[in-house]
Amino acid sequence: MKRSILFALVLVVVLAACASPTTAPAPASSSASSASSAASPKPAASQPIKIAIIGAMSGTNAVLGDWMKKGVTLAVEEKNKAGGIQGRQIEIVVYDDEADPTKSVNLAQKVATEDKVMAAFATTNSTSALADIPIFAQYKIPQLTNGTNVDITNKGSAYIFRVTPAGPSFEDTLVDFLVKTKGFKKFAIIADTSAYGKGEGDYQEAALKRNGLSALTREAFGIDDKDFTGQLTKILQTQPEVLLLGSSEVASGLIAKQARQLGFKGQIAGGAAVGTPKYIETAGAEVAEGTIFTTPWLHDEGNELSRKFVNAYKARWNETPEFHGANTYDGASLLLFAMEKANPLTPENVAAEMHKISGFKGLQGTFNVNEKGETITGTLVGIVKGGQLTVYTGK
Amino acid sequence: MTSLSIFLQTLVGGIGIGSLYALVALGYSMIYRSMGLVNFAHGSIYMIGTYFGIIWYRGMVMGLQVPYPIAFVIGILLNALLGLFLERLFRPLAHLDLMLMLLGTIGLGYVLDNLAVIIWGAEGFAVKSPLPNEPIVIGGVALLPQMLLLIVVSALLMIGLNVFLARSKMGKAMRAAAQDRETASAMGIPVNTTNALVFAIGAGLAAAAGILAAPIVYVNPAMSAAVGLKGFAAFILGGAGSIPGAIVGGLVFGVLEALSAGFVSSQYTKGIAFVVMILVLMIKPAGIVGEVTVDKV
Amino acid sequence: MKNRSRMLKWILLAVGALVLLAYPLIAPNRYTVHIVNMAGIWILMSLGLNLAMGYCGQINLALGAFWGVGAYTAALLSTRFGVPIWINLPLGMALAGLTGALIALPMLKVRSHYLALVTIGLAETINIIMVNETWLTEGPLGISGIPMPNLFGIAFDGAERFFYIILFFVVLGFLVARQIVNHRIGRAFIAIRDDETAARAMGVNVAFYQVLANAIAGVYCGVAGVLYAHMSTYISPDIFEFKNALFVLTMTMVGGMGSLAGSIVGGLALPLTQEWLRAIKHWQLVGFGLAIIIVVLFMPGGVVGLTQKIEQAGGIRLPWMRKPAEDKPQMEEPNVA
Repeated sequence: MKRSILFALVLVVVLAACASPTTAPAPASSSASSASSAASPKPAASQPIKIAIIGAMSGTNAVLGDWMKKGVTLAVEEKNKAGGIQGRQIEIVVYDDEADPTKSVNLAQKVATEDKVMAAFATTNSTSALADIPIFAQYKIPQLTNGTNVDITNKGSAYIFRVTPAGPSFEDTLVDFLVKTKGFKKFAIIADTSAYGKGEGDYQEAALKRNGLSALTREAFGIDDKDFTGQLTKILQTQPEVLLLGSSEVASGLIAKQARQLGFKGQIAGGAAVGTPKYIETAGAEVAEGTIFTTPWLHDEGNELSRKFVNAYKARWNETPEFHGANTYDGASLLLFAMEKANPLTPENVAAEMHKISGFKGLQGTFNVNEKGETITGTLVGIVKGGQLTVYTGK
Repeated sequence: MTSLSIFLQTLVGGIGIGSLYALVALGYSMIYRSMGLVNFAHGSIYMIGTYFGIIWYRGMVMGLQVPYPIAFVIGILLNALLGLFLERLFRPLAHLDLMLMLLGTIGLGYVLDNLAVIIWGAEGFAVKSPLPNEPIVIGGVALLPQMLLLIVVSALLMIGLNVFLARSKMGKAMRAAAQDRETASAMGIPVNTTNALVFAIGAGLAAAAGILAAPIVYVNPAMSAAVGLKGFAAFILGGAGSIPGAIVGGLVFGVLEALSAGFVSSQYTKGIAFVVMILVLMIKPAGIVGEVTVDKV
Repeated sequence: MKNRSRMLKWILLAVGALVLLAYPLIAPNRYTVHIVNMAGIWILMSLGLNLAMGYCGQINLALGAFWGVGAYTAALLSTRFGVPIWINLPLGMALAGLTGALIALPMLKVRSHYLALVTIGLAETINIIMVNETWLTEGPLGISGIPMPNLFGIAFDGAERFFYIILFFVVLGFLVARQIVNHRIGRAFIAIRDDETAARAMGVNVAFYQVLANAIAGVYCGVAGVLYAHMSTYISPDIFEFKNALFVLTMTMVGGMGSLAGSIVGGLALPLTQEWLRAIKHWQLVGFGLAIIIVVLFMPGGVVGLTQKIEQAGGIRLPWMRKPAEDKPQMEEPNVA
C-alpha cells in the first residue's frame, strides 16, 4: 500500500515537472496574494503581444469557436501587416474548452499565468464566459465575449466586455417590430433549456409584457432533442399568429420545418441564431422564406466598412461571413484600438482604455463602452428573402 | 383539431422517433445476445453509418451524386463492413467484466467520434428529404412522408430480421450461438463467424436508422451521444438481449418522450421518460419483454 | 538489506511529503497549481467511486449528480445566507450522501447494465431539476460570486492557498477510505463484491452495505462539490453532466479499480496529461480513446494493477519494493496495516 502511495507521489513530482515549461522563470515567492503578477514589469519590446481565444473548438458548439477564431484572426493579421502595436507583432493562442466551464476555467488560468496574455476572447458560450469572469477580473486582464446573455455584464467586473448587443436588444427590437409594425397580438414561444435558449425565451416574454401582451404558451425542449411534435402540437392548439424561437441555429431550423409540416401557417421569428445561413440550411429555403429575425450585422449592409470586411473575409476564409465573424472582428478592432492607446501597454491599461472608447465606428454600428462593459446596443430587423438573409425594407 | 387527433398527432411523432431508437436498440440487443457485449460505442457506429450513406447522397465523394435509395444501401453495406472489422477489435472485450467493457467501448466511441470530426468536420449539415416536404393529412393528423418512410422501412427491417433469425439456417445458427456458445461451438457452428455477422447486422441497422432519420434530424458527429444513450435506454427498458424487447423499448421510449412533452411538461420531457423507465425496471427488473436474465456479465 | 529498503522508503516518503507541501511555492505559475487543485477534486470523487464500485461492486454513473448536490448546497448557502465553508462542508456531505443512499435504492432490485442505466437516468433527472427549478438553483446560467473561504482569519483567496485545503481533504479522504477498507465495513463490501449470495449466507446485511457504499460515494463527491464551488466561485448545471461522471470512471479504471492508490494515480495522471496534451486537439482525443482501449485490454487492473503484476512476476524492482517473499497480501485484502 505505502509503495503505491510513494509511486503516486513520484508521479506528482514528475508530472509537475512536465507541466512546467522549462523556459518559464520560476518566481520563487509566488505567494497567494500576487494577483497582478501577469503584468510583467518590463515587457521585452521585441516579443510579440499575446492575445488568447478560448472557445468550443470541438463538439456541437465547434462552429462558434471557429467563427470567433476567424473574425479575430482576420483583424489581427491586418494589424500585423500594418506594423503591429507599438512596433510589436500580435500573436494569437487558441484553446479548446469543449464548452465545458471547468475546462474553460483551467484555460483562463493558463492564459493568465502561463501565456501572460494582454487580453482574451472567452467565450461565446455563456456559462463558460461566466465561469471565467472571476479569473480575468483577478488578473486584471480584459475579457471579451460575444455571448448575449444579459447576466454576463452584471457581475461587477471591470474587465468584461461584450462586443455585440445583449440578448434583450435582439428580442426587444424583434417583438416591438412584430407588435407595432406588423400588428401581431398572439405569440407562442418555444425555447430550449440551455443558458442561451432560456435567456432568449425570458427576454421575449419580457418584451411582450412591455407591449401589454403575454405569450399564449411557452414550451421548452432539451438541446439534444430532434422531434418537437409534442411541443408544437400543443402550441398549435392555442392558434398563435407568431412562433418565437429561442434556440441554436440547428434546433431553430428543425422546429421551423416541423411547425410548417404540422400545418402552422403563421409568422416564424427569432433572435440572433435565426439570422444565420445555418438556420436557412436546416429549415430549408422554402420553410425559412419570410422568417423575421434581428441581427447586429448583415453581410449585405450597404456601407463601405462592411463591403471591405466581406471581401477580406472571403479572401481569407473562402466563405461569406455571418454576424459572429463580424462581432468578433469588431471586438478585435476595439481591442487593438485600446492597445494602441495604452501606455504603458499592460492588460490593466488596455481595459481602462477600452472603457474610454466612444463613437468608435465598427461593422455593427457605433460603439460606446459603458462602465458595465456593454459596448453597443441596437439591432436591425431582417427577413429571409429568396433563401438569403436580407435587411427588412418594408414590403 | 379534436383532442383525439391532437393525441394521435403527438403519438405519431413519438412512434417516428421511437422507430429510430428501436433500430439502434436492436443493434445493442443483437450484439449483447450473441457476444454478451454491451457496446457503448453503438451510438458512434450509428453516426458513422449515417455519414457512410449521406456522403454519397450529398455528392461528397468525388462529386458523385447518388440517388437516395442507392445511398441507403451503400451506407448499410459500408457500415456492415465496419461492423465486421469492429467485431474483430471488440472480441477480446466480450469476456471482460461489465465496467471494463463499458470503458473499452466508450474508448472506441471516442476514437470513432473524433475521427469523424477530423474527416468530416464538426459543423455538420442538414440533409434534403428525397420525398416531398408536404405532409399527408389524414383525419387531421399530418404525416410527413420522410417520417412515414422511417416508420415503414424500420418495421420492414424488424420483420425481416425476425424472419431471418427464425427461418434461415444462418439465423438459427446465430440464435444457437447466442444461447449456448460452447454447445453451439461443439455442434460445429462457427461462433466467431456468426458473431461477426451479428455485429455487421447491428451496424447495418444503425446505418439504416441514421440514413432514414437524417433528413428529419441534422447530421453532425455529435449526434452519436444522444441517440446512443436513448437507444441504450430502449435496449434496457425492453429487456437486454431480447429482439422484440428492443423494438418495444424503442417505441415506448419515443412515445413516452412525445407524450410527456405534449401533455405533461416540456421542461421535464427527458426526466419523465427516465423516471418512468426506472419505475418500470423496479417492477420488472429484466425489462418489459425481459427473458429471465441469463447474466452474461 | 531489509532495514536499508525500509529507510529508503521513509526517506522517499518524507521527500514526497516535502515536495507536496512546497508545491505551490515551487510551481512555475498559478495555472499549474490550479490544475493540481482540480486533480485533487477529481481524486476525492474517484476515491468515493472506488469504495462503491471497486470494493463493493456497485456500478454507479451518477457521480456528477452527487458532486452537483454538494456544490449547489455550498453555493446556495454561501451566496444567499453567507454561510461559511466549514458549515457548508458537513451539510454538503450530508445532502450528497443522502442522494447517494436514495440512488442506491433502485440498486437493490436492479443489476449490472440495467443498473448502469438506472444510475445514468437518475443523474440526468437531477441535472434537469438543476436546470429547470430556477427559483432554487438559478437555472442553466448557474450561480456566480460564491466567496472563497476565510478560515482562522486567513483568506484562502488564491489557488496557492486553496491547494492546502484540497491537500488536507485528499489526505484525510484517503486515510478515511483506508480505514473503511480495513474495517468490518470494507470486508463486508468485498464479500458482497466477490459473491453476493455467499455474503448473504455469511450473515452480511447486503442491502444495508450496498446503500452505505453509495452513501459514502455521495459523501466523497459532496466534499468535492463544496470545495469546487468555493474554489471556482461559479457553478452551472452543465458542469455536473454525465460526461464528468464518465471522466471520473475513466480515471479510476486507468489508475486501478479496487485500489485506493489507483484513485490517486488515475486522478492525477488523467487530468494532468489531458491539460498537457491540449495542443493536439482532435488527434489528442483519438489518442485518448486508444489509450483507454489499451488500458482495458492489456492492464485491466489499471496502472496500480500493472505495477503489482510486474512486481509479482519478479520484474522491475524499484528500490523501495519488498522482495516478493516478504510481500504482504494484496492491497484489496482487508488485513493490510
